Parts: sequence; structure tokens; C-alpha cells
Amino acid sequence: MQYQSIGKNLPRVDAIAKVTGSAKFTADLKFSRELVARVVRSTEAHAWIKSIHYADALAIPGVRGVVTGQDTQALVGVCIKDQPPLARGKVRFVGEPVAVVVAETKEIALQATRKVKVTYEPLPVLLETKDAMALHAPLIHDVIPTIPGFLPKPGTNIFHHYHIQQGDVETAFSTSQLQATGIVRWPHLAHCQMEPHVTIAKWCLDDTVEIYTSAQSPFDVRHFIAEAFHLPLRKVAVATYFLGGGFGGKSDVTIEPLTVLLAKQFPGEYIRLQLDREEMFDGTVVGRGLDGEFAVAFDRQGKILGLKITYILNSGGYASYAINIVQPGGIATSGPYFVPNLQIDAYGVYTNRPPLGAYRAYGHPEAALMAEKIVEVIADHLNMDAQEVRRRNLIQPGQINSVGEIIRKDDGDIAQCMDLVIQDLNEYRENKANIPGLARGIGIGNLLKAPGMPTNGFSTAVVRFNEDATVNVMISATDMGQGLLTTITQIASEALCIPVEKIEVTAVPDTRYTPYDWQTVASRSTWMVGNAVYKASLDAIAKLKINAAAAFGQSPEDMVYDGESVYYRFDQDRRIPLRKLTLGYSFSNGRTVGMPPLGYGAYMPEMEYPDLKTGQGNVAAQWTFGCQGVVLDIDIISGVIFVRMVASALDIGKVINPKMAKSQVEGAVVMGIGGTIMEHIQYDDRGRIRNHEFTDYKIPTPEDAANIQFNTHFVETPDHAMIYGAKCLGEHPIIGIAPAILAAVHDAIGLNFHALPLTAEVVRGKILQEWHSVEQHLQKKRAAYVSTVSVL
Amino acid sequence: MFLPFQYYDPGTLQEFINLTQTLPNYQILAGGTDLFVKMRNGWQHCEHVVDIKKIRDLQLQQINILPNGIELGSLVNFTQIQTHPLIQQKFTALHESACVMGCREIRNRATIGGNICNAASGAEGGSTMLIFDPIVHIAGKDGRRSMPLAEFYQATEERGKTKVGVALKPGELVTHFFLPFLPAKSNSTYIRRSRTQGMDLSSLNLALAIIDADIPENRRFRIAGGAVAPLPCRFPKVEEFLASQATLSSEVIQAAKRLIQEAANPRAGSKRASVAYKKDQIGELLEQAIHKLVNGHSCCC
Repeated sequence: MQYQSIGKNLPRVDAIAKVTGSAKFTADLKFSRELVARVVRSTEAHAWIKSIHYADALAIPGVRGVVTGQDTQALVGVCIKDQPPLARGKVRFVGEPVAVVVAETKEIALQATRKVKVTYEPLPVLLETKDAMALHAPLIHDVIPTIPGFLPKPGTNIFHHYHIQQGDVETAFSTSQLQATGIVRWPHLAHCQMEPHVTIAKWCLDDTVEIYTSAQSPFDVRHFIAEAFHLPLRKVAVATYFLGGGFGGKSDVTIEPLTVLLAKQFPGEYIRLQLDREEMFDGTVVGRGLDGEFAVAFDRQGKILGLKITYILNSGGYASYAINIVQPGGIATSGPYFVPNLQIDAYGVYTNRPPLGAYRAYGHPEAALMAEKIVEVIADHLNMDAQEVRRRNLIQPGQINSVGEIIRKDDGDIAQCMDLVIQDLNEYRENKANIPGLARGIGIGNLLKAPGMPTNGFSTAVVRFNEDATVNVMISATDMGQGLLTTITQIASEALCIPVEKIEVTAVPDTRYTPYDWQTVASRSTWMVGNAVYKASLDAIAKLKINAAAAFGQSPEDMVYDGESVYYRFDQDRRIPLRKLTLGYSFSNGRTVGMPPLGYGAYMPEMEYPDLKTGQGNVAAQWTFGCQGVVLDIDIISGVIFVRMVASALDIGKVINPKMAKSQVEGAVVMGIGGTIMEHIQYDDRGRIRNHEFTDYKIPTPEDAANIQFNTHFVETPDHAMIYGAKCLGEHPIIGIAPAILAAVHDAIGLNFHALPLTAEVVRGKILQEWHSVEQHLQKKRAAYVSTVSVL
Repeated sequence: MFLPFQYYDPGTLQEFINLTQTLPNYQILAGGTDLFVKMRNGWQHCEHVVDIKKIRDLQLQQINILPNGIELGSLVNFTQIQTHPLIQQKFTALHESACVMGCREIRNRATIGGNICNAASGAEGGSTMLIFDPIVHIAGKDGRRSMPLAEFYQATEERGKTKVGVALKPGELVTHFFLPFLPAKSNSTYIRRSRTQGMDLSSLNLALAIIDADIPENRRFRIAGGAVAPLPCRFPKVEEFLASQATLSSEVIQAAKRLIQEAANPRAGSKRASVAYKKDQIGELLEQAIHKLVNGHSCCC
């Protein structure tokens, strides 16, 4: 199909605003009578609050007040409401807000927070899931709220157990001679968005609440605030501006309830709560945190016969966000493979760490680490090529996945993705000589992902023709750097047959003025908002036709729209340019018929909640498949891993903007590399984060990325539901990276790692520990390893 | 976030001396890349910050080439060091360390004087400066004095904890460092381990100079390590051992590695690297550095 705007490399529509600094972020907003809030955070991971003394803080001139948990009964949470905006009675992680100073300047607020004295009575600290799940473990929450669709285990720290049962697992294991087990561990990661969280809120004297916040989801923030503070939705206004990165860490709600609580204490004044970098680690949400185990039964051909998986998320002190990761993560642990007999037990477990939240790809990278480890282990046991084991187990259209959905052809062509990646890896290996002293390895990781969302998580859009026939597109999805405004501009341009220059997409969603959108998460926006914009465009066009029909005294069905004018089907000379139809149509005597055209469109795929006993159901709206591969070199002496090349092939349906899609892939790849070989939040034994800043929480730098060759391919199997056939992309290219690196490290030095990150120290430590087998492996692979000769 | 502080910018040495005598406590501000981090994080509170960048009569920003060596003003920044051709040629280790110090922005701000006076064990300037046996020149209310860098660094024991710093008294500042040229047929290099290829602190580092490399009987070694002891330090025993060897056979190098691993005394609990990794790697860095200077191999990557 020939497209005008889709598939073109339209430069980002926000580029000039961003590079000239005129793009507005929440922190740029300034209000008169602003007060500044600063949080006093818990220094204990698990303790009773015995007392909070803040008279000394109040005595400082310029301090307007100190707010504590005594000032509210509200509980917030996305789905399980277990978290007070300010700790009440008990703290459950280091960094939990215990009190907040509100002052006239940030300097005064800082000084005052140091004068707030909190005394604690320590409780046993549970940092690891095995401790929290132990029999008779102290309870972090005495009562776990029950909610439909979720299964907590009362009297334990398990707030959700999602169970999948398919086929006859026990028989599969008892009849198979070939079995293997393994574990995987992923520590907590930080999102490291460039823009720290900031919320500005005012509780007006008529009980309306104004909120400006760096959130991915203005409507969801509105929902939770209205619920927590018992307000009608119409009284809560939430506006978001450009976001400097989200990665899931700004989805749902984070600091908004606390800021609104403060605003309520100081009605009529704007309260600003702006986190600093350390608070981004201590006081928002963290990511990953998987403890996984598997047992697999397979045959001599490498085909999986049965699989038992335990997938445990270290979810921190509150389950508000983590609870939603348990299910999608659990579903994906069998990977893009057909498993006839399957048992998955996914647990969300309270611990005394900061709460776990969404982190780019919502449980899927953890799941992929497990699934890909499983095929690698089978290959290892059978001494088979791991790529071949993957191929033999790939799920085919018509087969059912872990939740009983029948896989469709348009879910994607993973075999082709594998071919593309393997071809790239082989080419690189043949053309680029090994470097003396370095052990080269290649590995791949397959990936799959579905967008997780509630079954009524609509995206909607409004398309308005202006008087000059330019168009405003109003949506409530946010642009956090992923380029949504640009792809939506292209989709609107295509749907309306008008050039992109005539289209402006809202950059400032505001729950007062822009139409509903559940959240900008799950890589869903190009796909879902795109569909909504398409429908809204058709609706706007229909209204232009009504205006033209009234002008001609004909039926709207006989009107044709071509992007410049509307004409009568049976006489093309009878045409009216669009700008004459935008305020209705006015005859020469001024008489006006019709009305200004406003189009509305909404989209939601059909989904359902899974059966609680079997975990089965149509829970995923669509699947995206892909494959990623890496070539890396390991410095045997230092343990440093150098990633040389990353090949990614993803079946994302029709690509809306190829250049942006490639950038999205490269960004995700680098983030994935960081999370695999560098990043981890280091806790001390009392649960305090030791590296809550960039000096010691290391993420890849430009120098790390500059030497990586990125090969990115898109397979374009059109999606059946999206009008232009586009699918999801934003999160996916992070999913295959960790498993591919793990496989490549195994290929290079023959060692199996099960815990991330593979820092130089970890790699070197294991090389020294198992030097004998590494040496043997290197000799076997002489071609891949040229030793440095030490002759002096 | 910063608590309020008073800022001063004396224009001459005399003004600096007069000013600092009136202040009960103060911190000298050079590039600020360490000081402001400490102040922001609340690790160091100072009510008075004395910026020495405006002092006109000391040429603190200058690099002077003398017949027998080079003078680095204490406010010479790392970009100046990195891009100076003579430093690259004659003080290669210093050039190499400047190349990986911080990031471009940091190198434009951070000064060699600040880097030394901050007395961080893993500082890029620490180990590399030590192998050139520099003399630290100090000016202050009691006139001028000078001392070797090795003595300028000070470690004291306080309640079982090692406290590190430099021998700078109130009312004094470092004016410059004098680095004598190495003899002809000498060379130096700097290698480090870091967690990223870009901006990162050294997990550990090593600077090596081989002097009179051509004649084994005359050959001498200078070896300094960073982040393997409370302060950047030389390894005299390893230096002597290597100097006493006729050839640098692989047995000799293995022995030298063992010696330096024994001598290294990294503190436990570092967020950057464990004691075991540092001890392991200081030996490997030594071997790599010797290879690089003797064989001209650069380390991989």
C-alpha cells in the first residue's frame, strides 16, 4: 500500500522546541505564592515510628508547617491500596516519607528537615524474598487487602500468587529421562530518567485540585487522587508537560498523592515537590528484582516436554505497582516457545526494599532471561546448537501459548527475525578478526511481549479542523522522549490526507480539556492512540461532509473528501475548499449551515481477565515477537565485557517512522546492556541504598555506546487490529539483550552465569574460580581466542 | 541541595592571606568538581568558600617549561594537561590519566591542584603525579615553602580510622608543582580499571615509569597505585625488586605481581570494587603496564 506520511522519516515535531530549550517541562512552571516541600525519609527499613519531633523545624523562620502521617487516613495504590502517602505508625523501607516540611524556599525546607527528629523501634528487616517467604516470617503488612482478580496468601508476605496450569506437568516429568534445573536472579535497577519527578499542586478553596506533574498518565493520576481524597473527578485537574524520560517509573502514581495531601493542608497555595537524584532512587519505585527457578523436561531432539517455573518478584514495602507485574511477567516466562505441559507460579512478595514498579517492558525482560536460559540449558545438556533448540521449540501460529491464546500469524514471524539476527552475527564473526587477549562470544535472545492493561484501558482522540483548515489533534498520551507526537502527526496526516505541516498534536494533556487515555505505558500508544486518531479523523471528515452536503443540498453519502476540499460525487466541479467548511458553511448572503467539525475516536482491543485457577484467558491484546543477538569480547584479565555488535530484528508490523524506530531500538539496547553488565542498586544489610547517585550507580555513557555497531531490522507483518498495521515497539528491544549477553558470555568463556549484573569483577571472579574449565574452553575455541604472548 | 555559604574571591596572594586570617574556617575553591559535590551532599559544610581563581599575581593557571622540568600551576585544568604536547611526550602517564579523567566538562573545570589537595585515593592525578617525584610549592602567610608530593600527602589515624589530607596549613595555598623531566630513554604509562568506558572514577589505577630502559643495570622503576591504599602510594619494594632484575622474564613479572598484590592495602566496603578484585587487578595492571612500555602493546580495547 502506498502511504503519504506513514513509513517516512518525518523529523521529530518537537525537535526545535527541545533543542532551543523552549519545550516546557513541569519543573519549568512557575507560580506566584509557591511553597516548597521537602521530605523527611525513613532511615530504617522496617520499624515502628515511636515519635516525630519537629518543634525545632517549625521554629525556623520561613517554615510554614510540618505534615506527618497523622494528617491523613488515605491509602493509595494502583490496584492494591496498601500505601499511605506518608508513613503511619510503621515504616517499610528506607526512604519512605515520614514527614514533610513545607517552607517558603528550598533552602529553608532543607535546613528544617534536618531539625525533624524521628525515633524508631526497629523490626526484623527482610531484604530477600526467601526470607520474606520463610515460614513464620515477620509480616510486613498485617493485612493484605483482597481485590478481585488477585490472590494474596493471608498470613504471609505474598500479596499475589498467579498460577498457570496447562497439560499434565507431573506426567511429563515422571516419564522424561532428560531434565534440567536452573535459577536466575536480577537485582533491583533504577530507571534513571533524566528528569526527576516533580509535582506542583494547589487545593483551591472551592475544593477543586490543580495538579501539574511529571507523570506518564494524567488520567490515571486523576483517578487515584480523586479516589484517595474522595473528590469527584470533575474537581481534579491534572496536566502533564513534556517528560524527560519515563521508562515506567512515572506511570501510575508516585509522588502525586503526597503533594496533594500537602496542598490540602495549605489550601490556596501552590506546593512544589521536586525530587533530587538521590530521592529518585530512595523515594520513587525501582525496577526488575527477580528470583526465578525452573525445571524443564525435554526429549533427545531438544523439544520441551514439560516446564515448571517459579517467578518471584522482590516487590519492596508496597505492592501498589508490583502487583500488576506479577501476571504479565509470569505469562511470558515460557518465552516464544510451545510448551505442552506447563506450570508457572508467579509470586509478588513484600520485602523491606523500596517498592517495585514498572520498568521498561513490565516483567518481560525477567521472563525472557528465564525462557532463554531454559533453551540454553537444554542445548548444553544435549551438546546441541542453542539456536537449533530454539527453532525446534518456537511457537507456531495455531498453537496455544501459556494462557491458552491461539497464536496468530500476525503476532509476528519470529523465525525470520532469528534468521536475520543469526546472519548478522555470522557475518560479523567472519569479517571482524578476533582481538588478542579477548575471548569472543556470540549469543542470541528471543523475545515476546504483550501490552498489559485493564480490559477497558481506552485510548481516545479528538480531531478539530481550525478555521484555516489546519488541524489540532488532542490526545492525552504523553511524549516522554519516545516520539509519540511525531508518529501521531504522521498517522493523522495519513488519515486526513493533509500534509504534516498542517497538523499540531497536543503536547500538554490536561484532564480538563483533552480526551481520556488510560496510561502512556506498555508500548501501546502508536498502536492504540494511532487507531483512536484514525477513527477521530474519519469522524471529523464525516462532519465536513455534512457541512458540504448542506451547502449543496445533497446527501452526505454523496460527498467526497480529498484533503483539500469536499466535492459532490457526481460532479467534481462542485467542490468547496476545506477552509470554507470549518465554521459550518456560509452562503454569500451570510446564512450559515452545519457546524465546526470536531471528530472523536476511541480504541480498545477485546481482552478479558484470566481464570484464577488455571491462569488461562484472552489476556493479551496482541503479541510482538523478535530476536536479538550480540557479539562481545571478554577481557580475560580484567573481566570487562565489550559489546561489539547488537543485531535486533523485531516484527513490529508497519513501521510508522523508520528512523525514530531505529533510534528507539538503539536506546533500548544500550539501556539493556547497562542493566546486564553494569547496573544494580546496592543495599547494605539494613536496606539502605549505597549507590543512590550516578557516581556509583553506573549506566552506559556515550563512550560505551559509541563503539557498538547496531544492526536493526524490522519485519513488517501487519497487525490485524491497527489500521495501518503498526504494532508495539517502545519496550521490546530491551528484552532480548540480557539473555543474549548471557549466552554470548557462555559462548566466549564457557561459564554459566545466573545472576546479573555481569560486572568485570563478577566475570573475573568466576574466571579465576573456574580457570581450569575456562582454559579448556578457550583451547577448544582457539580460533576465537588469541592469547597475548608474554615474551620480554 | 546547598545550604547558604559566603563566597570570597581575593585578587592577590596578600588579599588571600589577609582574608583567610579573618575566617575561622573556610574551604579553598579551585575547580569545584569535588568541593561542590561534597557540599551538595552535605558531607562537608563550609560557611566560607574562598575562590582562588581570581588571584592574579601567582600565574596559577600556567604551564611553564623549564630546562629541567615543567611547572604546573595549581589551577591548570585537566584539559590543559590532556592537550599539552610536551606533557604527552615527556609525562605520558599524566597525559593518559587526563584523557580518562571525568568527562570533557569535568576536565574543563577540574584542576590538578584541587585533584591533589582533595586527597582521594583513586584520583587520576594522584598516582600519575607520584611517579614523577614532583615538588609541591606552597605560598602563605609564613612565606613560601616546598616539599615532595609524597610528603605533602598525609594520613593520620584517628579513633581507628585513617584520615587523609594534605600538609596545607590555614592561610596557605599550593601555587604550583614542579615535575623534573625523566632521563632520556624513559617512559611512563597509566592504566586503570573503571566500570564504564566513559565517565567513571577509577576502581583502581596504576602508573608506571621505567627509567633508563635501555640498560638493564641502570634500569629503574617507579610504580604508584590509586585506590589500593588510603592515599595514592608508591610501591618501593616492587620498584627495587624489578630494578634488581637483569631481565623481565615472565617469572620476574609474576614475582613482581605477587609483591604488589601483597603490598596493596585497599579498604573494604568500596562501592567500586572489592578488596579481592583490587588485589587481583593491581598485579594485572602492573603486568599490562610493563608490557605496554617494554613491548609497545597497548592494552586491549
